[in-house]
Amino acid sequence: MIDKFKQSTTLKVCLDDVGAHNKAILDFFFAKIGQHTFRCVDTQEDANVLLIDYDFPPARQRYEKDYQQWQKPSLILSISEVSLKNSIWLAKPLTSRALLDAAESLQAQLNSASTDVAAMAVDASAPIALDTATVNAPEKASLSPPPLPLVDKVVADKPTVNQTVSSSTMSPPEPMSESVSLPDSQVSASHRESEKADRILKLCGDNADINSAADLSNFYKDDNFFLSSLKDAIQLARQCQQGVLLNFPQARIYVLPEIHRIFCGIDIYDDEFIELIAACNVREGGKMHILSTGEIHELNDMISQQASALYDLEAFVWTSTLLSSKGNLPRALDPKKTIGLNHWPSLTRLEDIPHAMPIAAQWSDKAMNAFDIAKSLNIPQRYVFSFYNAANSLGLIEQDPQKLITKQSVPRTKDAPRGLFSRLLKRLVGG
Amino acid sequence: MSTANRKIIFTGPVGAGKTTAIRSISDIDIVTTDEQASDMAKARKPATTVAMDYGMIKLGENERVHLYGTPGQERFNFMWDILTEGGIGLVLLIDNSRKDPQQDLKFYTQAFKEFIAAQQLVVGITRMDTHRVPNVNDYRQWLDQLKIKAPVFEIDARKRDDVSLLIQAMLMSLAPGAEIL
Repeated sequence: MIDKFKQSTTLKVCLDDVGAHNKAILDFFFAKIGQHTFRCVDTQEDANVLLIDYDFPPARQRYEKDYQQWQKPSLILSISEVSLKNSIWLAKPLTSRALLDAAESLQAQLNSASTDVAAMAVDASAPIALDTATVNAPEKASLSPPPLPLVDKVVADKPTVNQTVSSSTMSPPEPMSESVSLPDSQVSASHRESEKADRILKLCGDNADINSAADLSNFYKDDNFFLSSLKDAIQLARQCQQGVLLNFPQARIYVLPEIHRIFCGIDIYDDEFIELIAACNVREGGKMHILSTGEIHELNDMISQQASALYDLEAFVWTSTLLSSKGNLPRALDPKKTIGLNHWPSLTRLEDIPHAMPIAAQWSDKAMNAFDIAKSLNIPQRYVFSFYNAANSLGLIEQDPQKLITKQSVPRTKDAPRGLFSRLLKRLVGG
Repeated sequence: MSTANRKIIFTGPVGAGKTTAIRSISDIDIVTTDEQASDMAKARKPATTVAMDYGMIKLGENERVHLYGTPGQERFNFMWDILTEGGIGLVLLIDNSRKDPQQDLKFYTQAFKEFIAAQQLVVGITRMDTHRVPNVNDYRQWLDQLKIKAPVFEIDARKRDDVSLLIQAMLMSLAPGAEIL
């Protein structure tokens, strides 16, 4: 009877709304000490206790929008105290003791709320009232640093400069709302086009094509201080697999390798970021160090207040490289050297530049030099140089073509139907 | 003009977003064969595709590109060979929230090995917004280990732009330098 009772009060939790770091901690806990108390289920619907990482904005959003109304008892994980009806707050960093205490409290509440234990065991999703309670994990008991923040996608809707893969610079304007009168929409479309053109200018510059046989000594532009500092910080963060703070007087940049993100208080799509890149110098900042426990707490607070300042790491590096080079190449990248593209950039999450898709396809298919890529695609060299430089910053360029992976393919019985592909491409880009 | 050989195939595990991706890009209301899930798929979503999904992109009066989604469950793999016949490329969607996405990648690239070798693979990673690990670079390394060269994009299957870019990458890989007519 006792065994049965215990079985019925197993806490069924879903880890979908917990960030990777805490999820790893919980996975370990559930496999060991917590194995008789907790059981993982695949969805929150199946859970009888909601486990929510409140410092994880998408989880918090889902909880507030959907889960809360289910009135299931909840375990709320957060570094700051959270007082919600029907929930228990668990302070981060998580400890086994705090988890077990919370579990005991939840089980007691579940049992007392249910008049029919057997029925409850069958219907795990039955809403059960629970008083608000808090179980504070004794922070001093844990010597481990607090977990790095995990936040929802922030650069999900990348600013679109050019969605097309076409040889034309501009993509067609998006379909206009029916409620907008034609003159206004025309003005709006024109304004958007103008903004796009302006942004492309900032990203790729306006250099005219150069003769590949000409002396290129004045052409190169080495990485500026901001970009080289950023690359160093990312390298350090990756080597030690810990968050790194890069300090500038104008902004503090947090590199978070574990979640492949960068936190920067300045909007990288704003002119202020361009000013930051231009103003940085070795005398004022650029120092970096691994995040301390206090700084991680501070960062968690900042992220919860400004989630939009958290960028995908590759998107941040891509845009930073483009803005700091404006169509020029650093001395290390010779446009006459035959190189190849190891991997495509994840173009859905990177800021668009004209012709990025055809350049990626061409360079991925065949090792060539940058001049030949521009010539074969019949596009301005500055776009090829911009792509080359940004892809190189992401580590996607292979300087030794012998090392490139070639596709293991069988001969096609028919040539690719290029006419169809062209028409389909036109259709996809909105033509 | 014959339309028999103009097919793009969407595959991937249950819940990866195949039906949603086709719906995002199709010019017609998609035809689905969703049924109440009765097995492990039920844990991920209430209904699942049991035969195939079908959508279409219209290119003109007579020209069509057909979009086929395979059922995700392995026990329907007899359908896969039938669906890929005459296809121009494969869109593999991997759900980053699943327990072992690397294994999913291995499984589907192996299952469609011959088709991938003959045509072109593109990989779309879904649910990366809420599940940041593994990241896109991990997928690139895994494809290297499998000796497969394919674009890998993070996507949201509900967004037409994301699915469109994935297919554009497929077409561009098949015919680098293709112009837009």
